Amino acid sequence: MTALRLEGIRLRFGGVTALDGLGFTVEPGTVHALIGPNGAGKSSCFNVISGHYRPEAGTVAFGDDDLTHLPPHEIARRGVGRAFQNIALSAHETVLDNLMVARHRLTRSGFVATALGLSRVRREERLHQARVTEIAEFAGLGGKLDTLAGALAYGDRKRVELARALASEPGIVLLDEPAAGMPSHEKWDIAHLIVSVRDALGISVLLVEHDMPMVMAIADRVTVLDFGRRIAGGTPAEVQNSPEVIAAYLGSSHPEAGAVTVSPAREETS
Amino acid sequence: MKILQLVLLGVSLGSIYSLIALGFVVIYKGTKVINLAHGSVLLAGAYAVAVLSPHTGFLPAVALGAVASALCAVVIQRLVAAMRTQNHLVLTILTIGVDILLATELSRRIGSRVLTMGDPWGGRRVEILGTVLPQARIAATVVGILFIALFFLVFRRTDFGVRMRASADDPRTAALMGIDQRKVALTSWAIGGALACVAGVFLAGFPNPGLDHTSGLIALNAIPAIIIGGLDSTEGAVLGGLIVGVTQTLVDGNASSLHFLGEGFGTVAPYVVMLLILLWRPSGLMGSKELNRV
Amino acid sequence: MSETTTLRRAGQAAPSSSSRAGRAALVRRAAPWLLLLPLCAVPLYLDGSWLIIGILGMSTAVGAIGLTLLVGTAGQLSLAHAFFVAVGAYTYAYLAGESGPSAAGGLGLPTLPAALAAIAAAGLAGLLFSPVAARVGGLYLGVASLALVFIGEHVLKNATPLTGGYNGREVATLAVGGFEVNGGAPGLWVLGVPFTGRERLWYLALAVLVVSIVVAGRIVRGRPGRALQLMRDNPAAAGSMGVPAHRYKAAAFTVSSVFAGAAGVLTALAFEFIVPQYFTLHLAVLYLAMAVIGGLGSVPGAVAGGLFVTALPLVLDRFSGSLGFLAAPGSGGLDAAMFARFVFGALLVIVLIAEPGGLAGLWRRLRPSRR
Repeated sequence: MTALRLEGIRLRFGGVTALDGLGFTVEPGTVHALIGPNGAGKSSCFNVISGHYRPEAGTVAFGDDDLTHLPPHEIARRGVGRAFQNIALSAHETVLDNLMVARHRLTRSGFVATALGLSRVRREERLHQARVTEIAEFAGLGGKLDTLAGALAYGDRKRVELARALASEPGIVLLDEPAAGMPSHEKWDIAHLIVSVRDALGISVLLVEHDMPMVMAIADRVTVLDFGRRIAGGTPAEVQNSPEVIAAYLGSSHPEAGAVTVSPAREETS
Repeated sequence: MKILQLVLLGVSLGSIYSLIALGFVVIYKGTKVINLAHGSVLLAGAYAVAVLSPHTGFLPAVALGAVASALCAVVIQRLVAAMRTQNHLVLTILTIGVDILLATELSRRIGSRVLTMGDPWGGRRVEILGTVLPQARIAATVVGILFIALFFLVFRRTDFGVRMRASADDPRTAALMGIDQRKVALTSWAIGGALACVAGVFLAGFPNPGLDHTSGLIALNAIPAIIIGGLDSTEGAVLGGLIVGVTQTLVDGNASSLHFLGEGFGTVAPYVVMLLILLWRPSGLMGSKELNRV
Repeated sequence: MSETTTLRRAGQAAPSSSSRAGRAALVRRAAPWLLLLPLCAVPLYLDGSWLIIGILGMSTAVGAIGLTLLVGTAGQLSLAHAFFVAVGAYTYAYLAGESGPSAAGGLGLPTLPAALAAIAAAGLAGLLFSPVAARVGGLYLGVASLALVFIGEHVLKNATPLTGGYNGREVATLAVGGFEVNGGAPGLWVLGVPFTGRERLWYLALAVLVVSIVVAGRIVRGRPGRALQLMRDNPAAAGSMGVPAHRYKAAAFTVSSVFAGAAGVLTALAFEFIVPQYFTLHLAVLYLAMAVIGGLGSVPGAVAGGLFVTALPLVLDRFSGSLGFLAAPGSGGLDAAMFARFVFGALLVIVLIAEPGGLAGLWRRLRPSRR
């Protein structure tokens, strides 16, 4: 069991400071939610963790591994999985192929061995297909493995995105708005799935999600960002009553406003 | 003196390449497509000038030729727009298909003839600063500078320029601000086509023998120019054009001492320069780095 | 695992339909191999002038497979394929050639190792270019690759001791243990038909093509292919799935060049004499046309595209006398080569606008039973 630890992360784009001394820890075996208004730096934070952005200062560590200056594929190899917000699948490939690609770090077959059709290549393929099939069923995609990813309904594509992150057998998985744009009942399916990722698979979850009732229901810990800074953190209950959080969400002109159960006020797009 | 002469010749050749490169870049900025049919567009315009100038005189012929190549470019833009994909790689491949069609038709028409432009400069030479330069190349430099200046004036100062740059930077926001993307696309292709025609007229002029069916290939010399300068930088296109022109003339002018590099290394040298610059700066000298959006 | 794991969703096919599907799959797998039988019999019936069209078609098809892997599967535009084909062709000619009084030299190596070394050399050339490919993305790469074609053409024309310069050079006959694969010695008759150079080369080209199809198919469907496809569709996601971008980009270029090298060796054997004027931008564009017309990323499509693009002008040329609308070459009218170019150009445009999947996409659409 390993913890993901961020310390003093600073990230700037030109003159804009996206993350400003951000630090928090995702304890092993927890669902940890990262919330904050749009533009607070949640996605930037994900991109720093997974190596797509390089921070100016600060460190990201997963257990004993320092991830700070590693390229994305090395970070993936150290057990950090990621599901993308904007569904980054290969639309023209089947669900199975989309999931199998996540086994990349766990498999060996290179160009030459694959071209020669060696028996170990076929064995590896069979073995990992079996495991991927299990994961697909776990994510509610059983029976859809041979469908082209692009032909799936939106909700199922979000599931494939999530299942692919799981298929790399990570120690922690970063989920970027896994339930965004879904109808309410499907949202709660996803919420249950996330909980069982933690409970059944023992994978830590770092979650960005705008749906507050869902976050408050499933998160063990919540970190609140605003303007690239951590303004509050703790259990959902603690965060809900924190005056800084209420101010950030509703604007400081309403200091007396109620608990955070409404959707973020500064949200520009859906 | 020889070096000065070569540099001046290089600058004049470079200003022609700059015009072609500007066309590539304008089209790329407007629609994110590299028009690989640009050589044929150039050939079409110059061919029209050659056919028309005995009847209408040189300047009207150039004006009509520029319209013709602008029309060609606009037709290609419509074809590109007819595609269902937004994949710029596939869109660029489409322009190769158009290039095959256009180049084949033009080479069928031109056959083995070498056409002259009917330009007033002919083969005269002028002495400047103790060097001897063809008058046609001096005209090319002057006209090149004029057009480049005009282009930047339009691009920087006018309403159209602002729209165009806004669309190039962020098409979606530009569309939301009420900028008609279709108009921007059509205009950028038309400008690119017209610039190609002007360049083609000078490429066919002295000291080159005239326009033949392979002249369109010369437009490809502007490819190292746009890569050296940066695909999306208009200033880069001009700089790249000059670098290519000067490199080519310098290498050709010193062919005897560069003999070990083989005959006709001048046309290859810009590509070597391009590869070296790419290894050093993957987006060219002045191109903007592609932001890795996740 | 939790209860969700055991909860199987619908979609488990009924046994009867699955066995029928199994039989259909078997037929699908076996059908291409059945096609081989008539292809093996072709040299018994067609004369050399027809065989050479098929040989050239199959040779370029091998190269087109390489390009469809690079452009279609890996999403890297290359206008340099002709360069890698040239590396294969000339390396074979140089390694296998005898150094004689003629302008072009040679090492006089045994021809089979020379052929394999030539294929490896093309792959090496791809690997050497891959630092550029890895650093430069998208359209930059496509146009940057043009440099290779021009620089290559320049080298071919000027490195006279190796290449024979403008006038080209001879290509040594490939022989395995004294048996000439594209020559007449020792004499061989099959069912009364003399098997000389072209009959024998037909089988070599066919064999290389079949191996190429199998190998490319495995790569596309296997672990490397999946990684390349995701890298093409979403580089960021590929990185987060553990795919090292630089290495895979470089590998795609190398593998694609290996196919190009094989195509080069076969083409050289078919021509028996190679000139730099063949390996130009025009050839590079034709290769791209093959991959696109066939359907980018489709191996069978690339084969169909390669055969079609190569054979069309040659076949038209053979019939130009009887096809009233075609003029003789060089007469200034519409000759076969020109007509073929119109067809390719039009097809490129039509395919891309109407059926971006190319021939492969059309094929899939005509068989509605699948999916």
